[in-house]
Amino acid sequence: MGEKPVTELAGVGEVLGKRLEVAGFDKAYTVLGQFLVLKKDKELFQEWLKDTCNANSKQSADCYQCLKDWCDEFL
Amino acid sequence: MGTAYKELFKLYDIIQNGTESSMESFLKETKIEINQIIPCKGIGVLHLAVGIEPEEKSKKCTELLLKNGGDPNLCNDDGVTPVHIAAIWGRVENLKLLIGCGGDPSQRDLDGHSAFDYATREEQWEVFDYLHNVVDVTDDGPANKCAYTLDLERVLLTTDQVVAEYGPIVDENAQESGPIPRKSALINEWCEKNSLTINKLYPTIIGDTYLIDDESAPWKSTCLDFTDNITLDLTKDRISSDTHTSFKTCMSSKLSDVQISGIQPLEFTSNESRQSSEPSNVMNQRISVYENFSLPGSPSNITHQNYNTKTSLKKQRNKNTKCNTGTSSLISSDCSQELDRVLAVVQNKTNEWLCTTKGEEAGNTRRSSASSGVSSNFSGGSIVIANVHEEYKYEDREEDVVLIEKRLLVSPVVLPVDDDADLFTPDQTIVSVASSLPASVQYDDNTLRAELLRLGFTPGPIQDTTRNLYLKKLQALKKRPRDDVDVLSSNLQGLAINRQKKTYSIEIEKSLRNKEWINDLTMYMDLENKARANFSDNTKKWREGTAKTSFTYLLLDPRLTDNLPVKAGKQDRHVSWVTFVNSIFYVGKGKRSRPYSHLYQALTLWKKDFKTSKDKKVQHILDIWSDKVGVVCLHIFQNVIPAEAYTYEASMIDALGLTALKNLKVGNYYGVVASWPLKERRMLGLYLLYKAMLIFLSEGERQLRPDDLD
Repeated sequence: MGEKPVTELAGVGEVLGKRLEVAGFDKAYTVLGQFLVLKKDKELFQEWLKDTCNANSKQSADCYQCLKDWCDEFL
Repeated sequence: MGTAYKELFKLYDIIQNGTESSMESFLKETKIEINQIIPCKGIGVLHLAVGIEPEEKSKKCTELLLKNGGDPNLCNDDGVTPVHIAAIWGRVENLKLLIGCGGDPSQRDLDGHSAFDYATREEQWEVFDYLHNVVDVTDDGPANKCAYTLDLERVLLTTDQVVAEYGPIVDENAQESGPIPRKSALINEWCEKNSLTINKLYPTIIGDTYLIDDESAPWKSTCLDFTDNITLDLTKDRISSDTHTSFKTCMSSKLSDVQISGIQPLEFTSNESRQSSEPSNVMNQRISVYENFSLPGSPSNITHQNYNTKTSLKKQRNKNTKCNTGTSSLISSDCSQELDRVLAVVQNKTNEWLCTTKGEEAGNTRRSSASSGVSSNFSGGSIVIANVHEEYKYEDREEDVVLIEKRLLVSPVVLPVDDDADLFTPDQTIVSVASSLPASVQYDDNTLRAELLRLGFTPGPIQDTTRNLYLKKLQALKKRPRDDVDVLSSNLQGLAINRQKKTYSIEIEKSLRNKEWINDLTMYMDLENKARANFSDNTKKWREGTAKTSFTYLLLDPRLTDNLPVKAGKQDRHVSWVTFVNSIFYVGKGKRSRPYSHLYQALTLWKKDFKTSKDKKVQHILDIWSDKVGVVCLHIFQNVIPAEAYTYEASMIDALGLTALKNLKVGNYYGVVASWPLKERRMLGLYLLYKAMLIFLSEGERQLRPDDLD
């Protein structure tokens, strides 16, 4: 995770990354933070990502899976 | 074997000479098979218990033995069962228990005598009458008058909790004035009017609903003449009826899980008049509801209702509940001028406050909430949809039977509620916050969390970045009518309810799998018309005559229907059909003079604290009552001749299949239907069931339970 930018997350490309940055989520770990605040709930997280950066379900599912895997690995 | 008999002899001895308590402890301590014939004595212990003296003890002993699994049909060497003995000795109470536990009064002993014969021979007419009622239904004639009374006990408004409860008061003054619609009709009508006001398109959520209880506030009514005005104005085409509804209690602190709609202007006015020590202290309760919105058919239809009620404490004054339909928009504006105060929802900024009078002993409250437009932001006030339950007391004095019938009205009522922190509030103020999502202003974090938790969802931290998500989640949870909760609870109940897959006849199974069948019913209709035409032939001699006093009934399990009529509007007809078919557990035929006699047996046992019975139907009813709900009793095809009712019963039993029901035997067919092939008879049954469902859906659920069930 480190200091990686938000675009490093799966499903988050340049466009979504820009939108997330505008919303204040410039680093991947801030998104991780939100993911954890939502208690790793898939539905809620995807909904949040959709609200925040207009992600489609494929993108948000990828992002969710990516963070989920990271958490399973390192938490 | 020898030791077992020894115990049995001991029990025999105790029944004969000991006390009930010693017998009870004996049965508790010793495990013996009581359904055996004791050698030398030639009878079983239950035979003995049924017949011993004194009668009181006999009753107790019989009850104890039956609770411990005594078999009422146990034959001794002469073929005599305990039922016979009860008949011979005229022990009606015992007989009721025995038959309730599955005893067969038509069983014959080796001499060929049934309990009937013995009752006649021993001149036990009481027994004879009872058996006659239970077994033989040939005494159904027009001469049979109503053997029961059915009175409105109370009306309950509920959301999740009870909001308000109304009970009728008899007022002899008002009864004189012309034709008066039945009280229930009035309420029904009221609710029908209200059903129009439900708007499913724009659900919003009510957050907090409180109820302020303040009975001490003294009120002086200034609106009596004002009520009169209304009456005069509306004489043209109003439906007026006099009912007397006393405001009894009002409880609840927090209401939740309410869906609301906000399209129609509604008004809820409550002035209570009360006369206590001070003669001028009059509280007048008025509820007025009107609607004015575009529904096809009734674009300008306005319903206006006044409930003027008093508490039972005061002396009779003229109490009128008027239900006015007509052009009452004028009146409503009149009201607003005449009424002293307007209370409104505080948290809803669009509401206005008008306090004109604030005397110590004077004050009328008018709470109004009106909403307009399509948006779910109300222009004032908030509304809760409440369910209306009517409770009727069914009483059959001859049989000493009291049942409570709870009717869940199909259409929920929209209750306008306001936030009203004023001290002068009469006892029934409902406070609420409405929000149109995703506006989250009215939802503070704690409420939101509580709501979500209540719906079975555990939220994480609710912050600025997550609040909207949780509000959406809440909305989604509320929209789905408690599926998750239901699944949970039904899982829990799963043990109690027999959830094993029932198998029905081919015709029903097909209809359950294929939802298209509903679209083409002509074939079925033909069958029904043929059957019906045949039965209307009066020249024939039908079994039990041609008095049109019979009906067919279905018993449904409320744990499976789960108030289906209310849900039916929102779901596919086919889904309702599946639920409906699954919930049926008994098909029977009844007669008008005693519509609920099929529950008497179960009730007799219930009163004695039985939890089990050998009779499958009675057992099922007891199970349902044990779960604190009432049996849903659906009377269909009223006013037909007995033979027709029997035929319908039989065809429905065949359609559902005996294994899926608690019925003991298949029915009998009469008339032309008897000559039909089984497939057609089942198809008739299927169609009748479908019609039954339609009746059920429009009539609403009626649950019957004993009066001592909370």
